[in-house]
Amino acid sequence: MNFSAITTQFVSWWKRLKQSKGLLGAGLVFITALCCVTFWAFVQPQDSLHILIPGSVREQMELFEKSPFNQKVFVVVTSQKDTDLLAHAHMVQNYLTQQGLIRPGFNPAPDFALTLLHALPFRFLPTDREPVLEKITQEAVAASTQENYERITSLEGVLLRPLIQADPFHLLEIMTRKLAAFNPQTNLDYRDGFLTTGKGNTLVGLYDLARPARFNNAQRFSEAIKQLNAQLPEGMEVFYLGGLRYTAENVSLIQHDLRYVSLLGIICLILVFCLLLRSAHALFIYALPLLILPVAALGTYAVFGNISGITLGFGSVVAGLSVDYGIYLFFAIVHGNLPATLAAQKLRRHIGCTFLTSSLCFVALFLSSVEVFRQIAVFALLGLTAALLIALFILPLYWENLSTKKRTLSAATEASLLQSPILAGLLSAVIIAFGIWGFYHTRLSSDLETMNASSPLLQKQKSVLDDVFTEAETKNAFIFVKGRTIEEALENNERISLSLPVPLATAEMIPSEKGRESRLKQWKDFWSRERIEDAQELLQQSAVRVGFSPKAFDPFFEWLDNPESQSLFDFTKIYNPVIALEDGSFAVVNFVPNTPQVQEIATDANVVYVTAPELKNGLMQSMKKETLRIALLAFLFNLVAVTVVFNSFRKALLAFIPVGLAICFTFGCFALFKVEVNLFALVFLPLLMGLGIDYGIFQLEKSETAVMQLYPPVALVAAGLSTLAGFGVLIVAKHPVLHMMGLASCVGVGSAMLVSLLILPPILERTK
Amino acid sequence: MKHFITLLLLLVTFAAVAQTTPETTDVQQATMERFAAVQTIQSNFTQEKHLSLLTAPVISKGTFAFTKTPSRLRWENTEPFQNGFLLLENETFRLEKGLKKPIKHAMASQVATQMKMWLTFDLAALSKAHTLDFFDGGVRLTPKKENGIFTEITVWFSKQNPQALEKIRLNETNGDYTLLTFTNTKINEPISEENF
Repeated sequence: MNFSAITTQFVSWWKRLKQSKGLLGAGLVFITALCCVTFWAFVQPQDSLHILIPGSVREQMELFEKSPFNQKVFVVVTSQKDTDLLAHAHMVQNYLTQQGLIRPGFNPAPDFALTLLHALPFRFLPTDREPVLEKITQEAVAASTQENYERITSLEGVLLRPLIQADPFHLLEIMTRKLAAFNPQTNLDYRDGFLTTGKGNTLVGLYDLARPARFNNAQRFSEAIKQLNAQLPEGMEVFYLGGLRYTAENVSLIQHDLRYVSLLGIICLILVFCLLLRSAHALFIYALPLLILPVAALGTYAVFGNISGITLGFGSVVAGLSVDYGIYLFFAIVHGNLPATLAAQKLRRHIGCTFLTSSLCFVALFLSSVEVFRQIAVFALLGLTAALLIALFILPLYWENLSTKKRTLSAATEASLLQSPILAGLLSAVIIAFGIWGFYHTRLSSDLETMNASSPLLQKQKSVLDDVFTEAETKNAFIFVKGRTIEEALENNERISLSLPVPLATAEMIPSEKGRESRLKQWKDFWSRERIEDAQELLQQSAVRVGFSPKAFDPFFEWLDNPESQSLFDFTKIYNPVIALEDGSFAVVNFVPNTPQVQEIATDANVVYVTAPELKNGLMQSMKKETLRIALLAFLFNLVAVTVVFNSFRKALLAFIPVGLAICFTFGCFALFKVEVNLFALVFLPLLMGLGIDYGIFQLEKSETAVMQLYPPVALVAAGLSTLAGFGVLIVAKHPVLHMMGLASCVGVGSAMLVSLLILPPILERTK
Repeated sequence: MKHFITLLLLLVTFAAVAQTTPETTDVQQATMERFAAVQTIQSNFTQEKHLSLLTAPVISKGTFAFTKTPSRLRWENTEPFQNGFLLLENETFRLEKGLKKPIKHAMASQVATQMKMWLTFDLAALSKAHTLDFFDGGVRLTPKKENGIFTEITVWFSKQNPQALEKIRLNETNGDYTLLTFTNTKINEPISEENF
């Protein structure tokens, strides 16, 4: 069957279907229901960090987020009084473990020091030769033997005996130095497994979560912390921080917001309906989003193989845009005294152009490297296409009997418009000046924290933790060394370590298989028979002199003869620095001093070097660039499209007046009311452009048409207010991202609507 | 900063000690209550070490001071060597010739905390890891799990003051033992701040 035959077949099928509106409606409802069922049955919205990050910093961000300590929960016990903080910190730890909220940490048995010592041969490097030689000189042996005697005869000597016998020369110090290299440059102390500062009134436990960091588990954690606080003495407090806490705060706040925002949105839509639409037929307009959103969601899932919750949340914007098509058509029929199908035909260029401009904004969004933006773009394009088809071809079928009685409110609205082009020009100049002032005075927050919901309590508690860790963040950096396999990553890590001024702690403590074999060989070569006999003789002399029995240190020499005899301890049980990456490769995570020298070596070695402040800054900069690029592309695409549609560059520029002035007005207001603008206000910019251009096109079409009644101002008011009812009500949200989107849409869409109604018509009249 | 903690030592998070609720006998309950009422201890001690790795037993002498609130303990040998340790609330120090040196090492700190449990006869804590066998004038503590260090700890209460200890004998796995004898013990008397 060729294309022509298919088209003929389709037209014939469509004609038959048009005769049966009931069947058509049932078909639409069936398709929607089918999409809904399919979606809920098979699709699980996913929100990984990966999809939110611009391509330029994605690798760094992904590595940073996957780093072992980033997966941990921080449980902070703090006290203002001089109370037994340590005991209470242990109590908190035990309680959370018993509740199944945290995984029991590594518990060093009393013989852990011995285990650490026995790990030395497999970590023995050429750089360790000198320190060991220094420990087996006559003076050093005399000193260590005397110290051993004092320790063994002290009370705690009871616990230290096995270690003293196994380590007469204090070789354990070499291992503790290697272990201590994990310690970044901080003012932190470690006390019984907890972090603390010099003040000592705060103890921080770092734990692995026993369950995934989902909202219900976050709630359980919060509840446990509440119960613990009730058990602690007065003046002492326990709280937790980390991704889990943010999940708890964000989700509960969003749930709270959505309840109120939905209620307010419904009330606003009812008001718009009662004031401006007042027709049962108009209910179809608000049914439109219900028909298109499931299709758009399923289509987006089919394209990407996953869909983000953010993309789904963005449905309200698409819903707002799709409603506009129905509103324009509804008022064209009502005010134009035309049959519905004829009104739809006459409005095709306008609605088509509106669809084109909105779609081009989303095409610009699709060109972003941020996957969630691309998802949103596909979601919106699918939704808008469905809305366009329904508005132009299906809604008119149901509106054939629509009343064409003119409304009094629209007449009143029309009468209130500005008439003077000079006044309109002056007002425009004032808004532009306001906007320029606003651009220079708007405060743009570069802190990613401003996009998280954080209650005053969380802010206060976070400041306690910041006191403890600020220095760690500024003085240290991450080095990620990658490899196709764990072994390769560890080998590469050892190679990089050799070129650094201070070796990497991970390379020292967690060597590759090859590394372990090579180090053991070096240990055996070092402890030659001759060297062992010399050391034994020296020790014997000193030991007997202070009061040790001749065989006191036999365990040490037995171990030297056979270092493999001791069971090997797996240090990754304490800390596993190897992370698995999305592409199947692996990376070793290192925490190093943040110095230019280390950075240079790391960069030369082609490994990923990341510091938290630089990463935050890089992320912010790339998001800004990304957003501005999208806005610029959206502007260019739309300018070309409107120029082509109206066959006039001048007219295209006129269509941009509402959006241009709305952006100026929005920034002016941000500066005037000292609004700290977060990233989401910028993301809103292209959207505002899409909506603003639509209003400009509406007035441009009106100024060109012979049937002006097809474009009553009330249609624009209803479209603008519907968008504000669906989207602008987010302004009452407490969550900073939702609030910012609501604020930007209220000011931006509201001002674009007013500019289109008040300022653009006299200018268009003047330029005719 | 939540992202930035890498230390290994800090990741040494101690697992919870199994919390079993031992059967509490009347004697144990009475003893526990008697010692729970102890707020301060001052004492002199003599420590005898009988160790196979030494050619002869070693006798040391020193002083011991403890306050329950705030939680502080000083254990100091005065002869033949001047050393010991000091626990102050959340901090641990090594004493060397009268000077305080902070101990940051988790394991050393753990050892000191263990010592505190014995010296203050913290029966509630001790009973979690030991079975208790009371006899006339004292109690024998046997580790519930073999720990590779002690086979038995015997504690004798003071005849003059039932809230004080007279002797502690720590029997080790290899037959070695340490005997602590307390003299001139003062219970619940004010202690000079200079001790800490």
